Order: sequence, then structure tokens, then C-alpha cells
Amino acid sequence: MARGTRKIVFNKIPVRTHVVTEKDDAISLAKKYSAGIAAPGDVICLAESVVAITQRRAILPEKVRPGRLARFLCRFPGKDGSLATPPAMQLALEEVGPVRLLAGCAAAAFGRLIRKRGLFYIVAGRQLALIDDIAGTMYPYERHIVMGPKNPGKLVREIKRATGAEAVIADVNDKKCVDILGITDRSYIPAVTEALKDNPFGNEDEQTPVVILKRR
Amino acid sequence: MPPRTRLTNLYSKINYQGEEQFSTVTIEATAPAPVEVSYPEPTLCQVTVRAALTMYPGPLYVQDGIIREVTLYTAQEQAVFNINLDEAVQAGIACIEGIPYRICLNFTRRPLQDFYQDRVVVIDPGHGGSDPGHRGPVNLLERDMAWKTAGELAKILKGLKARVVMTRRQEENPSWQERLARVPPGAFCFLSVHEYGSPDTTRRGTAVLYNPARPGNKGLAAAVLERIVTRVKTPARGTAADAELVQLGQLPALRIEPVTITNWVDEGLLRNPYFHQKTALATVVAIKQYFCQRS
Repeated sequence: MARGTRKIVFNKIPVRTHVVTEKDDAISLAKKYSAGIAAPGDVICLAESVVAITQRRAILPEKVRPGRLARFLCRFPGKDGSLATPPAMQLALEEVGPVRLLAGCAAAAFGRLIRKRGLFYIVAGRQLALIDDIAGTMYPYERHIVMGPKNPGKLVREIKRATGAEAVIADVNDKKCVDILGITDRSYIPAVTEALKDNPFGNEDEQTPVVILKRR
Repeated sequence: MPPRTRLTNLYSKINYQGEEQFSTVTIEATAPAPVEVSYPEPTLCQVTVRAALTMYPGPLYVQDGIIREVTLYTAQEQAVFNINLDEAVQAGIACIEGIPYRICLNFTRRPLQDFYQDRVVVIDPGHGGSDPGHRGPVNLLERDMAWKTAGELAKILKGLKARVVMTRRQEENPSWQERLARVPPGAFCFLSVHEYGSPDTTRRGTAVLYNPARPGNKGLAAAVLERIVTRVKTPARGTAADAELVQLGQLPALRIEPVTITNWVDEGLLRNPYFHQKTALATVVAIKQYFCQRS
């Protein structure tokens, strides 16, 4: 456990993996690629999109039938965001329900009036911010809409049981935004956030959805 | 007994040191490990590292004009990396201490620079100004995407010391005749960048059109198409003769359509800045290799 006054600093070890598919499971993945590297006190970090893929939450848009509400609502979010297509909006509706999503829209409209951003996700649900629309994930999932992972808190506890190391599931982008979705020891949050800021998972040809943070 | 060194990562990038460019292969490890480099063939660099393999041992496809691919296997407690090269160049090696410990192999990109140096390449970003071209189902415009890919082409070619002539500025929409008038005498090739659009929104993919007035252009278009689709993993829509390009006479001239912008997935690909870089690099490499093979 990380306690006391000493600042925690990590060395980052990105691990190249095979292309993860729905046939994999996140615990075996963490175990396999951290074997002989991660020790108790170190942290095994998994990219959220890869965890979602193992949970069969990567969905082909042609398998989604967007309703009228989805077709209407997808006109309003920012066009570079993840809810700008009818299939992605339909999946968002199915994820949180129409009432909550419409409440989020109302909050977003109010936010525009008072010039406050982010109210949509606060009301409609943080999980909607984790949706990666078509082409938002690397090959061979560029044709899929990838939802956020389910039960990340439970999953990191299971990874810790299987490996002995701390575990994190995080959403990181190239704009230095780190969103910790699940972590086994909350006292690590500042140090893990700092370590993941430069996105060691990569966003392009890097095939490193597992990053091990070794304590210095 | 200290824990055994484990190899954790392998990647390739293009690095710049002043005007010099290098294709770099980096191998990362948990601790320092003995390394041996040999060249069983002029275009095969073999790197042997005494360490265990934790990373996935599958091949790394690079295809940057110097490095084709890296394959690896383990034998007798060693990992062997075979770096297959497109050019007979040898690596400078640098080992960087730290965690991870990095073994960097730097291959000069001089063969590409030697090929393109002082050649005049004309880049024609399609549409422009008040003509947006095709529109994607969400919001992207052919005019802007062609400009982006053209910009990446220009950047790469200038880095290889080619002389680049653009047929339009960002907010400009010259006529086809005006564009042709900007092609200087002695130009090496003409690359027009567009996106395809179709009323059938399920239609996807990449195509390369060519100037049929010059016999070799069909093969050039096929080579460029193959490189692009291998690199960006889009479906190929094929090659075809383009009637407008005939006006360029004997000049090697292509019209590149990296995606079908009216398709959801293809439009999404255009949002990724790396897509434009990869398309441009694949084009530049394919042109060089086509002409070198023919000569």
C-alpha cells in the first residue's frame, strides 16, 4: 500500500500485446503481459477501450437500428465528438435510457446559456463520454462503436487478486486527459494520473494497451 | 539471482536530426541486455538480444520506404529480431539507459532523399474556396480533407528535399486550366488529391486514377494503391484512367482518392491526423519504389 509522505514516482513500461479481441479476457491479459515484471506495489494499467472489447462492447454500426429520437438528437453534439452519428446516439440511449439522456440534453442546453461545458455528461452519465464512435479505435475495431467498460472497479480488484499488483483501468487521450475508471488503491490516483498523461497506451500504431508502472 | 531482463515493446518511427532523416526501430527492455547486430543479407539486419520475451512476438509492419517489417522469434534464451529492409542500409546503434532500457537502431533515409532531391512534384489539392466537393455524412468536406492530405504530402516531400509546387492556396479554387498552368516545365510528377463520393453510403474505399497518356502510369497507380491500402487498411476500389489528367501529356500524373467520404467509417478515418500522414507517406514511398524498380 502506498502510504506516508513520500511522493510516489513510477517508471512506465508499455507492453506490446497481440490484437485484443472479444475472445480475450482482461484478467488473463493483465496476468500474461505483466508476468515477471509487475510486483506488489507496482500498478498494471489497462486501456479502457481494450477492456470494453473483451467485454463484447465493440458494436458494428450496421447492427444498430437508430430510432427517430437518435437520428434527431445526434444533430446537436459537437461534430468531432462521439455522439454525432445516429448509431452512436442510439447506443447512448440504450445505455442510460431516453429519460436520462433527454435530461442531459436539457442540462447541455442550459449549460450553453450559462456558458458552462460538460453538464450533458454530468447529468446523462459519465459512461457516455467513454463511447468511441466509428473510427475512434484502432484497426481492426475502426468500423465499430466501442462503449465504455462495464464494472471497472470489480475488474481491477480481480486483476489484483490474480497478479498481486495494483490495477487501473483508464481512459487516456493525446490531450493529456486521464480518466481513471477503476483503481485498487485510491492513494495512487495522483501518481498514476501523472504517469499516464503522455498516453503510453498510444493512439496510433502502438499496440500497448497494457502499461506497467514500476515504483522507483 | 537478479530477475531476468524481459523485452516489453517494439516500435518504429521516423526521426529527424537536422536535415537528416532516420527510420528507427526501438526495442524496450526492463533492464540492460547484451545485443549483437549482424547482416546475413544486405537487406536483412538481425538483432539478437539475450533476454526473455514478454511482449507479443508477432511481426511489426513498418513499410516506411527503408524498413519493410520486423519479425522476431526466440531461440536459446535469446530473442532474434529480423529487420527486413527495402534498401541496403546499415544501422547506427544507441542504447539508452533507464526503465525501460531502449535499444535504438537508426537507419538512414538517404536513399529516399537521394531519389527525391531537387525533383519537382506538383501537388493539386482538389476543390477549394467556395467549392467544398463531397460532404461526409457528419460534417467533413472533401475540400478540407484534400488540403490536409496534400499538406502532409508536401511536408514529407520537402523533408526529402523535393521541390513542391501547390496548385492552390487553402482558400482558393482555381479552375482546372489554371491548375495546369501552374505545372512548371520539367516537373517530375503531378499528384491530385480528392475524396470519392457516392450516393450509395455503404460504398467505401481507396482508388487511384491515372493519366492514360503515359503507358507506365497504370502500373504506378497500382503500386500507389497497393501501398496505401496496406498502410491504412481501407478496401481498394481499384485504379482507372482519368480523362482530365490526359491534358498533362507524358507527365506521370495520379488522382488519389484515399477514402469514400460519403461513408460513415471512411469519414471517421479522415478525422484521424495519422491517416493523412500514413496516406502521404505510402504514396511517396510507392512512387520512389516504382521508379527505382523500373530503372
